[in-house]
Amino acid sequence: MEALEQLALTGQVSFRAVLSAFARPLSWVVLAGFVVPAAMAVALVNFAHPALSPLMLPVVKALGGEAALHYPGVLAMLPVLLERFGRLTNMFTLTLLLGWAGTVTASGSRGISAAPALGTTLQRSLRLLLLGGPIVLLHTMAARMSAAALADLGHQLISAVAHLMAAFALEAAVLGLGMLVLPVFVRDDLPLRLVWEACQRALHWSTVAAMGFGFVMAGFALASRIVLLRAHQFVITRYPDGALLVVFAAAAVTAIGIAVFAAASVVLAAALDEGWE
Amino acid sequence: MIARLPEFFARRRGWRCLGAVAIVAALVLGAGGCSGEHDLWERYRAERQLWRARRFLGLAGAGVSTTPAAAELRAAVALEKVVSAFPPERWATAEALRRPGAQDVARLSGTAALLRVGMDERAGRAEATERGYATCARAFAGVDSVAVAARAGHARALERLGRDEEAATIWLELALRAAEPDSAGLAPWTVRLTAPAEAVRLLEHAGRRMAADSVRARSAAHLETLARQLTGTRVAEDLWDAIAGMWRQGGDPDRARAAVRAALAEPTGGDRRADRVLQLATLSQEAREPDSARVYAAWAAREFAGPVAMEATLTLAHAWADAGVADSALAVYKQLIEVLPPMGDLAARARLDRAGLLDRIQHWEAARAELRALAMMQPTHPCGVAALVEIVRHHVREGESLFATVETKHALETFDHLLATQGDPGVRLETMMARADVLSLMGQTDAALREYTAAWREQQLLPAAAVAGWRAARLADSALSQPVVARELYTELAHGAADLEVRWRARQHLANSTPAVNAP
Repeated sequence: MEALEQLALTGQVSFRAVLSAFARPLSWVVLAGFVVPAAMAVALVNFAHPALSPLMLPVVKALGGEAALHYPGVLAMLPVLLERFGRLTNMFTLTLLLGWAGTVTASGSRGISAAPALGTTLQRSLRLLLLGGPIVLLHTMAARMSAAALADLGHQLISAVAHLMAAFALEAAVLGLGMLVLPVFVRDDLPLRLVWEACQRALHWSTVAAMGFGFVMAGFALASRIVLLRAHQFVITRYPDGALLVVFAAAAVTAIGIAVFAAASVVLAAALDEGWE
Repeated sequence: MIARLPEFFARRRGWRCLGAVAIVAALVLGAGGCSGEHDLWERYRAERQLWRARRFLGLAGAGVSTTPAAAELRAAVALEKVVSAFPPERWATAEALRRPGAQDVARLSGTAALLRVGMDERAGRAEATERGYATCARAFAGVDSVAVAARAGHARALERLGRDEEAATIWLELALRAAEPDSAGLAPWTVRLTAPAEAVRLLEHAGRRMAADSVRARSAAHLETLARQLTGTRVAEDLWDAIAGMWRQGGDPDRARAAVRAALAEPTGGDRRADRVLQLATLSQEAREPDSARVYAAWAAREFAGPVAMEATLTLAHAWADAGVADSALAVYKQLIEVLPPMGDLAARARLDRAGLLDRIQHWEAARAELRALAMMQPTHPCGVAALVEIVRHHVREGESLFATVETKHALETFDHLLATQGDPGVRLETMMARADVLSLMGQTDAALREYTAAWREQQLLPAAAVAGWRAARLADSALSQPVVARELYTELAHGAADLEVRWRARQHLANSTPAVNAP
């Protein structure tokens, strides 16, 4: 398929993926992707409540130190606390969410709903974690680099811009790579020994689409990060409790992003596959 | 089992399983709630409420509200809400204060109470302030961080009301526990260390000089004993500093220097050594011993780096100037001006001092060049503003009336421009006072009185504004022979000056002047 055709197809598929993220069955994945970090944020912010303190006080102290045990310290540090917590859980939660969203999209034509798709994903969780885990870790690293560079923009402009560009390139590359391999990982008709061959075929036929898709997704991620960082800075000095809403917004954006990424990857792979076959 | 996972979820068993997990988690959390830290939650709530109240207070203080009275009221209500939500009767009792969490809540509630009284203090409601601090000190007697501040505030409020003896008693009570460390456990409360000096000052105001001397000697001896007992600790250093401050206030620089030397000998004071050596130089200057001052200043400038070294170099230049060795002083000033960043505070002071010395040794051309450079480079700095006044002063002193008129015109134009463009209260006050100085130098006493009065009334909240008010009162009292205006100004100073010493002097003035003479 021509490079321009690949790009046009990527745009069309991405648009449809955004729409599908708000419709069932993919919206269940978005909801799950939103509820988990949002619930964690609520628990972190209310760590001092007698019902939560036995469990959450040590967690908040371990993640944020003494400063996080006071108001509005815990709200000011909320994104950092979630990010540190995410270091421990991202590999599992993001991989499973991506797998679930991918499976839902791949089996959507067969009329399978979100629940059995979750069962199928859990069934293949080991395979997903082994193959997709490193990519998720790489993406987490790129996202952290990007967030750190954004925070440094005010102090060390040149260095921060350089880091931001490097992080953006890495994130785009990782997302592009993820777009190529996710459809292969969620296929139920592919034995493990043929996965590498399938990946090579995808890379050969969809490089331009993957690059374009990766850059667009990385661009949206960066723009969201900038907006949410600004919103957090604005809110924390005026209405610290509003930081929770900003985190909710970030969780919603991330959940939608995961669903769109997975759905677009699977649909695009199928479309390109039709193209080369 | 893994193979049957899709079916398991499809038949809703998975969801039931997840629901069961959620119920178990809720039960576990509910059970945990029984053993959770209630004080922690209350502290969090108190911090949250106090943060909001402080924000309202900050907004009210910033003057950005279109309805300042409403903003003040909102802040006051928010602060009172914190105190009523966490009342001292519950949180500052001896029993409650045994729990660390409750201690924090009491401290937060007390802080809110102090901030509320501070609002009355800033608004000039003297009686309400006195009552507020007294209540606060009583209610939070067990919370040191609140009680010490409340008692000090109470003493200041009593002084403002002219009840000096009662204020002195409170200061003396505070001084009794001077060596006790603060709530962080690192150093004594500053207020407790300066308390004896405050008590002595108030006793002197009350005309009880003998009692003041006795209190000073006893307090110094008490602090010295404590310092010797605690030698080798940070507290000992702070105590020696307090002793030095007391003797300095009492006009005994020898004993003050001995105390500073004792502090210097403490092994813990590495980071404060430079300041202490500089303090020795300053004390030697005050004792009119320029040679000693020179030695100490040279030591500080040579051995230490950074701002203290620069400050020490300026002190060295002063010491040379005091010793009458102008060449050496000028060389040090020159070196300092060359080394320092040109727009800094120290550079401005060095330039002004250098110009003054050049003027004294009859090098007016060089002095004028320095003053002009200073006025041009830092027009809003107090030294830059003063430079223009110094030029006029020189011509008036030398009887060069034409030059004085020209320079006055130039200075007034510059001041008018500054007043039209600058909104900073400090800059405006300095400029208005300089304007009044120039008018006064040129014999326009009426205009100078108006300018000083305007400066005082416009910036009454700044401590330096009391100087303008005082000068206005003195002008009205002496040169203009307007006793009614003078009395009015002294009354304003006695009730509204931010500097309590000025208030006392104004009260003294009012008490000593007979109303019959001052009557219109």
